[in-house]
Amino acid sequence: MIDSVYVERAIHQSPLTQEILSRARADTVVEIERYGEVFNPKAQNFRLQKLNPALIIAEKHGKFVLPTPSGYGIGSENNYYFSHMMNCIYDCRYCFLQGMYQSANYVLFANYDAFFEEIIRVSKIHDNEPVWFFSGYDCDSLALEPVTHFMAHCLDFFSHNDNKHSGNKPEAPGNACLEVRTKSTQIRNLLKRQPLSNCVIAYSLSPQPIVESIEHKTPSLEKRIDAMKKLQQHGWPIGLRFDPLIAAENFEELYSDMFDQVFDTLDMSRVHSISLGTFRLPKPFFKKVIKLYPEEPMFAVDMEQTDGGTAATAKQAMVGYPPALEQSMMDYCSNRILSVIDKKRFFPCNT
Amino acid sequence: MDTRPNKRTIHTLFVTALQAEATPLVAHYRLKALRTRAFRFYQSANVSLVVCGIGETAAASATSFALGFLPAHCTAINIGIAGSDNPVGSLFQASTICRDNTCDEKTAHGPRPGMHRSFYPHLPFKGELPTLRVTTVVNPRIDYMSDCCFEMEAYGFCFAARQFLAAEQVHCLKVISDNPGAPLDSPPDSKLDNSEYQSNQSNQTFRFDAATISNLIHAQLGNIENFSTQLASACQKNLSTTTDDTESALAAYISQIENSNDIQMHFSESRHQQLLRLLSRYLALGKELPQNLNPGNSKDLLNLLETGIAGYLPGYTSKNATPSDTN
Repeated sequence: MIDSVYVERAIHQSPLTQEILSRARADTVVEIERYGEVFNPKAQNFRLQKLNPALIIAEKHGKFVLPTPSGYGIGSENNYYFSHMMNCIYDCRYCFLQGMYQSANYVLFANYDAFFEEIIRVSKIHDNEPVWFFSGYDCDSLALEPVTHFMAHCLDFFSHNDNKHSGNKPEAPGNACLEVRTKSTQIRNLLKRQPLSNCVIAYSLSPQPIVESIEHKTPSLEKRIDAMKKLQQHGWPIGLRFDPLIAAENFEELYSDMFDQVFDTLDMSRVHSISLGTFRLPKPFFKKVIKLYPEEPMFAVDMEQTDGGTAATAKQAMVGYPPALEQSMMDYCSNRILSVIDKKRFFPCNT
Repeated sequence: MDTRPNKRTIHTLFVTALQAEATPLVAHYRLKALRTRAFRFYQSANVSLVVCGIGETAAASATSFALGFLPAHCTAINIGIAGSDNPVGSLFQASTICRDNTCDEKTAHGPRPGMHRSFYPHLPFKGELPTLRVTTVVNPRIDYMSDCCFEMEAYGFCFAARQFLAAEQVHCLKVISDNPGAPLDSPPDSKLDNSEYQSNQSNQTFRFDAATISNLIHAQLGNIENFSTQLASACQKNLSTTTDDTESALAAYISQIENSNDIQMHFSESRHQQLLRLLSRYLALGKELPQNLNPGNSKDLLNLLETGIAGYLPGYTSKNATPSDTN
C-alpha cells in the first residue's frame, strides 16, 4: 500500500520506528533530516501526490494537544484535539486537509508518549472537570492503524478506569475522555479488547450516493454501519457524526434513506452522541480546493462567506452554503435525529 | 511532421548533459533538431530534449531555457550516467538529490543561498525501478558507494525544474557508467565526445567514451520509455486541463453572443476570471449555458450567467459498491 517511507534521521533507529517500518513494508526507505523537507515545499501537486502518497515518520516537537475551535464539542466545556498523523488515506473531496497542506503524503509522529504526557498535563489543568480529547481531526483515527498501532497505544493509555494495566506506562487522569473519529472499518483490535466507558468511537456518515461520489476510497455506508453495530454490541460507546451535510437536489431523499438505515440498525438508546454540521471551509482552503478540482459538482453550487464579513482576517473567513439553504438542511436533519434521541445527546455544530 | 508541443497532452522534457546520452533518445523518439542560440534542442509533438553540457549550472540554465517555452502540462526527466558501486549498465531512479558538501568549497562567501536543500522526487504511481540517492558533485569522484551515485547535473536540473513544475513532475534517471571494477578514467584513449573534462581538484583529465555512453543509454531505452509514459499518463489524468478547456469554451461562447448581438464586450482581468469560474461551474454541474442572451456589456453577462445557475444543486445517485478496508 505504501511504497516509499521517509524517516527522520533522529528517530530512524528507535524501536517504535523500526516496528512501524517493518509493518509498512515499503520498497524504498529514505532518511531525511526533518519532515518539512518533504512535506512543506510549495511546488507540490496535492492531486497527483494523492495517487501514491508516501509515509513520513517524524518526531513532533510541541503543540501536541490544542484547543478545539469554539462550538466544537459533545457537551463538555473543555475540548482539545490532537493529531498523531497529518493527512489521511481517504480522498474525501470536501476535506479541509487538501486546502491546508501542500502535500498529500502522510506524516506520522512516532513519539506517541509525548502526546500522552501532554494529555496528562492538560487534564490536570481542569482538575476534576471532564476534558474531551478529539482524535481524527487532521487524519482518520483508525485507517492506518495496521501500520501505526497508535490507537492501540492510546487506548491502553486511556484505560485507567476500566482495566488497570501493569507496567510503568503513562495513564490518563480520571477526567480525560477520548473521541476516536473515523470512517474506517479497521475494528478488529477494538473488538479484541474490553470497551472503555471514557472512549467514544465516532463514525462520520454520509448517504451512500455521496460516499460514492465524494468520499473516495472510503468504506461504504453499509460497512460503516455494520462496524458500528459490532462495536456497539461489544459494548463500545458509539457516536454518530453527520458532518459535513452536502447540499443536493435530492437532499431529503438521500438523508432520509441514510437515517432510516442507521436508526433501524443501531440501538439508538445506547448511542453516546450525535453531531451535525453543513459543509464549510476556510476561504483560502476553498480557493485552493476549487483550483485542484474545478470539475467537482459539489464546489459548483452557490457558496458564500458565512461569517457575514466579520472575520478579522481573510484567512479566518469561512465559506459555506447560503444561510437559508444551510438552515433548511440543518432543520430537516435535526428533526429526524431528535425523533430518535433526546436533546442532551444532540450537538449541532456551529463553527 | 509538426513538432510544436501539443497543449492537450502531457509533454515530456528530457535533459541530458552529453550528446552521447542524447543520441539514443533522439533516435528513439524521432526528435527533430531545432535551431536555438544556446543549447542543442530536439523536439517532437510530445517530447523535447535539451543537451545541457557538463555541470549543475549548465543543467539549471538549459532546463530553465527549455521549460520557459514548453507548456506547463509537462514532465521533466534528467537522464544521464553516474558512478556508483553498482553494476555498470544498471538504471536507477533518484530517491534523493543532494549536493556534495565540497560543492561549496570554492564559494568565498559561504553556501550559495537556496542551494542546500535536498530534493526528494516521488512518483505518483508505484515505481518499478530501483532507487538510489544521487549526489551532484563539482569534480568527478571515484570513491564509489553502493547506496549513492555521483554525477554532475541532477541538482542543477532539479533546482531549475522545480521553479516551473511540481515535485511529482520532476525526476532523474541514472545509468551506472563506472564503478570500482571499471573506474571513470579508464579507458583513457577512447573516442571523445564533447566531454573531456579536467578536474579542478586533481588536475586529472577524465574522458567519456561516446559510443560506450550511447550504448549504456540505448540498452535502457525500454525502461526509460516505460517510466516516462507512466509518469505522463498519471499527469495527464490528474493535472487539471480544465482551465484550457474552459478558456476555449468561454471564447467560443462570448464570440457567439457578440456576433448575435452585434456588440463588442470588454473584459477586465478580474471579470474574465469571474466568467471563467462561472463557466466551470456550469460545466461541473452539467448545466447548459443559456442561449440567446442579450447583455449590454460584460457585467450584464456576468449577472445573467449568475442568475442562470443560482440555486442549482447536483443530484446524487448510487452507482456501484465502494471499496472497503474491512480487516
